Amino acid sequence: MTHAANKPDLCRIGERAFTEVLDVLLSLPVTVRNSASHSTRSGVIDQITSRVFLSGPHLSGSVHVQFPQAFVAHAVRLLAGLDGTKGDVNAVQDDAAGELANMVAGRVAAQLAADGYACTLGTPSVFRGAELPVETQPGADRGRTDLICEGHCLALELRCHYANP
Amino acid sequence: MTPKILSIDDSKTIRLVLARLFRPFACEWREAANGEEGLTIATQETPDLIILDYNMPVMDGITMLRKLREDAALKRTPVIMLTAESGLECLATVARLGVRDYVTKPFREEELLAKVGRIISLIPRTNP
Repeated sequence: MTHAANKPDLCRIGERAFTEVLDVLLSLPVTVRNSASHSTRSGVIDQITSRVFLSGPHLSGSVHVQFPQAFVAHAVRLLAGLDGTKGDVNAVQDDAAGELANMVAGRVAAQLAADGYACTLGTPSVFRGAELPVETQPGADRGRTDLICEGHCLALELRCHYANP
Repeated sequence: MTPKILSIDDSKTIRLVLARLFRPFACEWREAANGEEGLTIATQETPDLIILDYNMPVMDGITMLRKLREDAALKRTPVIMLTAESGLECLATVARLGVRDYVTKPFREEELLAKVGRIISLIPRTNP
């Protein structure tokens, strides 16, 4: 049997990874978002998106995590006791968003490894005011998870391209 | 003598989280944003413990660890890896380089404190 015959469930992996990071690090409850949920939906301009590349012998991919700025500021307050809206706001928020995505990517990588797709993490990149990108490699699988945490809409997208062994 | 802890992580957020976590304890706190900076500070300060990230710009944690082990004065310095990486290859590499413990991000504060407490004495400050 090839690796490609057992493709991981990217939605399940993303949901578990994102939930675990928010629970362990921030002790924040999370619910999976559906169309009936009500929450604060920020505009694209208020979004911070972090991307971490994954690479392994049988897989290449990326983890994209999107947070509203207000959520990242809240996380900075909880984590470091800093006012995430004062001082060098962008640098503080970008660093926190990048580190949160790094941790989510780490949990994603651990679950992919358990499914037979070992991979390592790249360095996080942070973008502001961008939608989660929609372009994807031909043949790549995608899984998207939308969560609500403290009234904020958070999103995670995984993209994986599997190579036959 | 109060123990000296050196935190090496490219994320300022993580360094702030750790500084806040260890503030109630009698210890001297030092920080570096990459392995190169960390090596310089370790040479000058000879810390009692290093908490080290894996993926960092300029010099990553593994390269720093290798250089640390080649330095006669620093080669026995206890190191705890604190990283989002949990792959077997990473674990095997750092084990070969003699790290004392390994904590995966996201981490529970009590887990890290317990592991640090096995290496150095964590005594609450009398006047925090």
